[in-house]
Formats: sequence, structure tokens, C-alpha cells
Amino acid sequence: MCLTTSPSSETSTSTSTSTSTSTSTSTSTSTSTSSSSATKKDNISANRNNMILTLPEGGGFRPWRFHFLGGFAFLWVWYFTMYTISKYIVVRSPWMIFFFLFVSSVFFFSNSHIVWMNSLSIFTYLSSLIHCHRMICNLDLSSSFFFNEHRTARTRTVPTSSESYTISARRGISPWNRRPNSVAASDRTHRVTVPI
Amino acid sequence: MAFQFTSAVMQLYMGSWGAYGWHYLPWIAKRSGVSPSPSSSSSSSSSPSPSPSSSTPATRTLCRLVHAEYLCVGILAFQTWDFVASCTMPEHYVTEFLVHHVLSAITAYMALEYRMVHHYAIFFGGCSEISSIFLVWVNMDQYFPASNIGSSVWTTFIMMNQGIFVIAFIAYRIVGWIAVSIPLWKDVMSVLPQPAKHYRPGKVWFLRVFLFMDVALGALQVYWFMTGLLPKVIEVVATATREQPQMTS
Repeated sequence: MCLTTSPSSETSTSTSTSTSTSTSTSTSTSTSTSSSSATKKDNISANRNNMILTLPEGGGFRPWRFHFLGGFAFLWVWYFTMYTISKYIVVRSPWMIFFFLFVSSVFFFSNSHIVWMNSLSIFTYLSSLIHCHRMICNLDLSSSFFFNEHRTARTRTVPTSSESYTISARRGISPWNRRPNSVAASDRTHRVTVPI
Repeated sequence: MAFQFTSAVMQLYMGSWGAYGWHYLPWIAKRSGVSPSPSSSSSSSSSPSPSPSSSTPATRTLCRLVHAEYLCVGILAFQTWDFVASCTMPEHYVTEFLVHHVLSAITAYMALEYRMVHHYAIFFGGCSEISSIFLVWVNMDQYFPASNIGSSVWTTFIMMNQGIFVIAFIAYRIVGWIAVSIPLWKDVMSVLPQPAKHYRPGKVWFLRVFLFMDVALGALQVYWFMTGLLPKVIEVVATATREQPQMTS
């Protein structure tokens, strides 16, 4: 990181002088007294050195506005993804939060220049997975299902060894019991085997 | 829950950038013997052409810092999102929260648009969020009560976060806020007459607005501390002192 002073805007003469000294500690000084090309060159140099005192003239689309749009979009995508996960998949262990944060942080800090794009892609992918899951299992996603009274008789607990998660099957139309001979949904409180 | 998740990611981002820009970069600079950013030094020159290798009020208030820009973008995006999201949730639809989001977003936008006070934005926007990282974990106790989880590790983790949150809040949002506000006021007052008018013609008013925001948001921190945090700390300490004699007897 370095400092650059760019006293521009006094540009009346036609001759140009551009002096740039760069040391090993990345300190650079640029003095501009003239033509627009030299001033532009100095400004580019100053911008490269991260610090500039003068405000760029004119309008135009500044890079930070792009990052803002990306960041704002990311927040909504991430929010609705988390909303979907918390609504339809009960997170029983708080340590799962660390997993979500770890994944997001890795993508967040992996590349600062395209960080928003990275984040957007991974969370869009995650959202797609959840929607695919909904299509395959044909679960009723209109139910409110996160740590509330609905997680009672109309819940089918997936029998995993750790019982780490539960999937909503409020209307009982998951692939296991979509067959004609299946037991009525309201009577099911655990997994049933249906004869073919 | 989803709100907490999203807030956690952004607070982690802003807190990390704040700690990186405010603590780590000056430390690295000190070790290597160079002056990489206009921080920590307190020279009070008000020359319109500040020396490029020294830290002056002009460089601290008018220089562009790229990592501060990234931070301000994060603040603007997060506070805008937070404002909209808070309007849809009754527990977050509180006047002081909404005012905080609006003031923070406006300040971040102006700092980006006019390229001013980037150096101080690192502290006020970044370091002040360090305590919020721990607050997110403290709030997780609402969704995963330690008594229900039954894990001593989780209980210890929550308690540890509660303690760190209180310390970080006092360090950054109360003591640090006041400590950094003093040089901010000195710097702004010294650049207002000349360098600011020279480099930001017609936009000097933002520096005055920033001073107002500094006082308003600082007062909000003190208000939250006095009404929310301090009574809670007193309650916890009182409970602990009541239980101590019972345990010993």
C-alpha cells in the first residue's frame, strides 16, 4: 500500500512533465502539470497505488456500484437459501451452522475480486439442489416447519444412525408412499414399507 | 434463523476487514518500517499538498483506500438489506434499529461516492462489527438452547461468546468509538478550511455530516449499552454471586 499525491486540475500549459519514482517500499510520487493524457496517466498510476486525493471527474459507472449490486443480490440469495433450508430441513445440531458458515466463508474470501460472483454461484447452486429435492420428493413446501408445533404427528423421521435431520412429509406423498396401497398420510408417524 | 445466518456472514466479513485494516496492516507496516496507510500517526499538517510518505489529516480524510472501499460496499449492501428485511420481521421492526441502518447506509454511500474518511470508515464500519460476530453466536442460544442441546461444549461456547461480546462491545463501540472520534474531529476541523475545499470542491459538507453521524451513531451505541447490555451484565453477575454462596454451603 502506498501513498500518491496527485495535484491535478491546474492544466493550462501544453508541455507535459510526468515524474514517477517508485521505491522498493512501493512509495510513489507523481506530479502532473499538463496535458490530459499525462494527467490521465498519472491518475492511472495513482489509482494503481490505491490512494488518491483527487476525486475522478465526470460520471460513469464506478466499480463499487457493481460490487454493491452483487453484494445486495448475494444477501437476498443467501437469505432465501437459508430460509429454505431452515424451513424444510430441521437443523437439529447447532454445529451444522459452522458448516454453512465455513462453506460460505471459503467462497467469500477465496477471491476478493470476484467474490460476489463466487458466492452467487455457490448459493444459487445450493438453492437449485433444494428445489430439485422438492421436485423429486414432491414435498409440500407450504407448511411451516421449523421448530414449531407442526413437527409432531405429521413428521416422518428419516432413520439415519445419528438422526441428524428430519424432512417434512406433511401430506405423505414422498416417493416411499406415493403408491396406491400406502397407508394414509395422517396415520404415519414413522417409515413404512409398501409392498409392490 | 435465516436472518441470523445472513447477518453472521456479513458481520464476519466486515469484522475481519476491519481488524485487517485497522490492526493488521499498521502492525505489518510497523514491523517493516514503512508507512503504508494514513493510520496511527497524528501529525496535524493542513497543507493542501500533503507529503506522500507521511500520515496527515488530509490523507486520513481524503485519500482513497481500496480495502476501505470494499468495506463500505459491504456496509452499504448489508445495511440496505437489513433495513428491508427488518421491515418484514416484527422483532426487528424497531425504530432505533431502522434509524441505525439508514444512518449507516447513508454514511457508507457518501464515503464511497465522495471518497472521504476512508481511513476512519475502517474503524467505524469494520472494527465496530467485531463484537457483532459474537452476538450472532449468543443469539443462536435462542434457537438451540443450551439446556435442550445438553452439550457442555455448546454451553461453554455460548458463555464464552457472551463474555467476548461484552468485552468487544465495550472495547470497540464505547471506549474505542470515543478514542477514535477525538482524532477524527481534530482531522476534520484541520482540513475543513483548505485541503478539503481544494480537493473536494462543493462536497465539504459531507465531512460535517460525517461528524454528525459519528455523534448520532456513537450515542446509539451508548444507549444500547446502558439499556440493553449493562442491565444484562448486572443481572448475570448478581445471579452468579447469589449462586456462589449456595454452592459453597
